[in-house]
Amino acid sequence: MAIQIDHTNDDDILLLAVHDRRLDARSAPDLKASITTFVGIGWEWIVLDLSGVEFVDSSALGAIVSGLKALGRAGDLVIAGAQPPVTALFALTRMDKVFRMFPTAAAAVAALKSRV
Amino acid sequence: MPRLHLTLDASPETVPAAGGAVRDWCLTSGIDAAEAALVELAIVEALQNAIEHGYAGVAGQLELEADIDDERMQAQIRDTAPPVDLTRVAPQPDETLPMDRARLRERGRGLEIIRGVFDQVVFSRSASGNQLTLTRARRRGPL
Repeated sequence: MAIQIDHTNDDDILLLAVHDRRLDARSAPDLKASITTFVGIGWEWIVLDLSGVEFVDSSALGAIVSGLKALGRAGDLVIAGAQPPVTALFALTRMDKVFRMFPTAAAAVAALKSRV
Repeated sequence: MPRLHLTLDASPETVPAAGGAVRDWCLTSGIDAAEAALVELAIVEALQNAIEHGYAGVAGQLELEADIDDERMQAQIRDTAPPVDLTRVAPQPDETLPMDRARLRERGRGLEIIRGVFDQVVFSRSASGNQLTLTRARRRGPL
């Protein structure tokens, strides 16, 4: 299932904003393809804005993990704007220890710009 | 207390509506929104496991029942697929220690979520099929 992702950039930071309210087993392949395509063409510092997403399951989480793995040792993929159910998923699976999470996309971009 | 009873085709396409019905049922039953979202997530994971690993692409049906009282909420998921006893799967080691991106798993977190949300996860097999029974105590914080 095709997902709706807008992409913009601020210098070398790529901001991916997901507009689907639900990311699950149906949308996970497309989510993975979207992120890994951007990594494949050279983006290394990526903010994934999930502020419009109300539900993420383990399949979609796996797609996000794929994006991080695709970076290898380079750059970072961080999460912005996660709503409470999405934050809870990251905590349940300990992925909150893997992904840096920011309240807003602006905060995430600022952190990556300063390479903090 | 209200009772939930759904029958759905074993397809990823039916899961979102079932998840929504679970969340609405939780809210109607007095469970707060944060906890309802967790219960929805865990039941979606259980349904998806049955579809992916039980039916594995073969057409079939799933039955979901849930009830709640002052002490606990309980859900049963029944299917007639070849048995896949997820409760015998050992917990995965903590992949975040040490932190190494290359070691991160892309799959296999569904059971971790189910076990994190529900206090008891029981699989049973009978002549009529498989049943996964999930039980969560009431008056417990969402996390």
